[in-house]
Amino acid sequence: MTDPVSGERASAPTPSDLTAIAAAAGVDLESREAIRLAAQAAAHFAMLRRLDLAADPQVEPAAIFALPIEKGGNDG
Amino acid sequence: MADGIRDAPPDLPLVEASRRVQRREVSPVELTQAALDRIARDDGNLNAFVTVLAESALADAHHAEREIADGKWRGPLHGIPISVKDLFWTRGVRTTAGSRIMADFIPDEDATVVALLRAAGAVLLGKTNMLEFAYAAVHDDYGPSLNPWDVHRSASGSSSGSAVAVAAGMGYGSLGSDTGGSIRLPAAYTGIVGLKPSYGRVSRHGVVPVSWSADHVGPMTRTVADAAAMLTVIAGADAADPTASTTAVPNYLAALDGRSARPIRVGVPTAWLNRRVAPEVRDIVETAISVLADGGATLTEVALPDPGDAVAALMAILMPEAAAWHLRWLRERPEDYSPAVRERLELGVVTPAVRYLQGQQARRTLTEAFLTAMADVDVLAMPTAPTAATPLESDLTVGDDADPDALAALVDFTAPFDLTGFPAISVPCGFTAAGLPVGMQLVGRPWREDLLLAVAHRYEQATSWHRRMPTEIA
Repeated sequence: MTDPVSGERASAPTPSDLTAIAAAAGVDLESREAIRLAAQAAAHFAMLRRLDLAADPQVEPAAIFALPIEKGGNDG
Repeated sequence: MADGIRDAPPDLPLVEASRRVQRREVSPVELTQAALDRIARDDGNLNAFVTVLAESALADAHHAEREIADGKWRGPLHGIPISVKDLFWTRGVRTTAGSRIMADFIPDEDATVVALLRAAGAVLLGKTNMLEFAYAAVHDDYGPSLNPWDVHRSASGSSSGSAVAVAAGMGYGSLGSDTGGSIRLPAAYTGIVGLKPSYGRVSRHGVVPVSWSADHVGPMTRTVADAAAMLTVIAGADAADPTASTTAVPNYLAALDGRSARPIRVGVPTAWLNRRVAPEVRDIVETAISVLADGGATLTEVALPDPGDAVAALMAILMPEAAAWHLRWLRERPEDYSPAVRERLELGVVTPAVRYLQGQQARRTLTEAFLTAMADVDVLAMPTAPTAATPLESDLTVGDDADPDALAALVDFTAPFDLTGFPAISVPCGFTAAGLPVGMQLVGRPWREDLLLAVAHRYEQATSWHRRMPTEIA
């Protein structure tokens, strides 16, 4: 699929892609939920792609239940 | 919507009600009965409560009254009627988490925070309505809590019932939880104070979780002093919650009026204020920030990380953690979830572990970036929400859709501080032309709730927004 805004090749269909596909295919109401979930999944995974830039692979992940904030956290 | 002034039960601020109890000007039974009368009058329209504990509340109020008469005053919460969100375990009292799945769950113990409130002498009025599992949408079995400033508008969520109860005089304070903004957003929409403490400041034991590493418990009240009084009681270490910190708990209420040797330094993230914020909200918050400056604070522009990165990191962490907790029910009873919550949980199931770990990598980097940005300021100031309360028909919390983009925009200002664990408070700071309250969020450095509350209190003392209350609810 190609993103109509950026022209970049996307790894998952965008919501507008799915809407267009659904309309072209004459999707009935029973399929609407599946289409909506697919559209939301596309948006969800698109948002997570930000992490490719925001997450530094050289940084050790935060400890899950002890945030790296001054005193406190999992110090009990 | 007409408004009034909070100067008599059941609309008094918690601390003022407590002072009157101490002076024997009003009794806990009178406070409790006034709140119950208000619930009887208005909750049919507002839907703030899932369970009202009238009988036990009056019994507890009588007990408190006798103790206080005998000179055994336990502190500012003694004899004060409050509510708790319906995800806090309450021994012998149904705890639904706003869900069909847990509709018949009756815990055999209290959450640590509920036990602490009871030990402080608070009177438990009832359990408040909320978004299903504190997760972005209302379940049809419960319906939305309605905004008392305009019942056709949302009270946001997920601690919606708590916010509505406090705003509308149905109890003098409430306990909420916040994973992406669930204390602060409903506080802003309803014109009350909502405090999310530092991660680990308050025990999560006995609290139905959304995300173990991002859930926070905090007070929702009419004034900053009320929030300080409640936090002093609920904060502290807990052997039952390994993330509850042993960091000493000061008396936050007593510390409110402490004067610092130098002016308070307020960081203003101008780029954030220009990001997807309704112009009317931005104007109101900018005016509020100028009130801080008029009070002697120094304002400094600060550059913060892109909130979109923080929201993405939080979602990468929060959604799989929520899905892990719900997995068995999601497999066995998927039809018992609302469509929106079920879909969000399903997205959590299919979120790759690599994304989760990237979220944790970004969490460390972003936390350090926020600490650096705050190195020369005491607090940050910004809007709590990008808009005032939205019409119910277009609100995210009541529809079947859980559009991740729309949700991300709603939590732009709040979610970064659930990710990083910094304390943050929403205080009422004005009203739109349509008469809807607007909240200003102040953010502190970790474990500096004392300073955060002092700044918020100082702002509150310079304004009167917190004294306004909705009337003519219908």
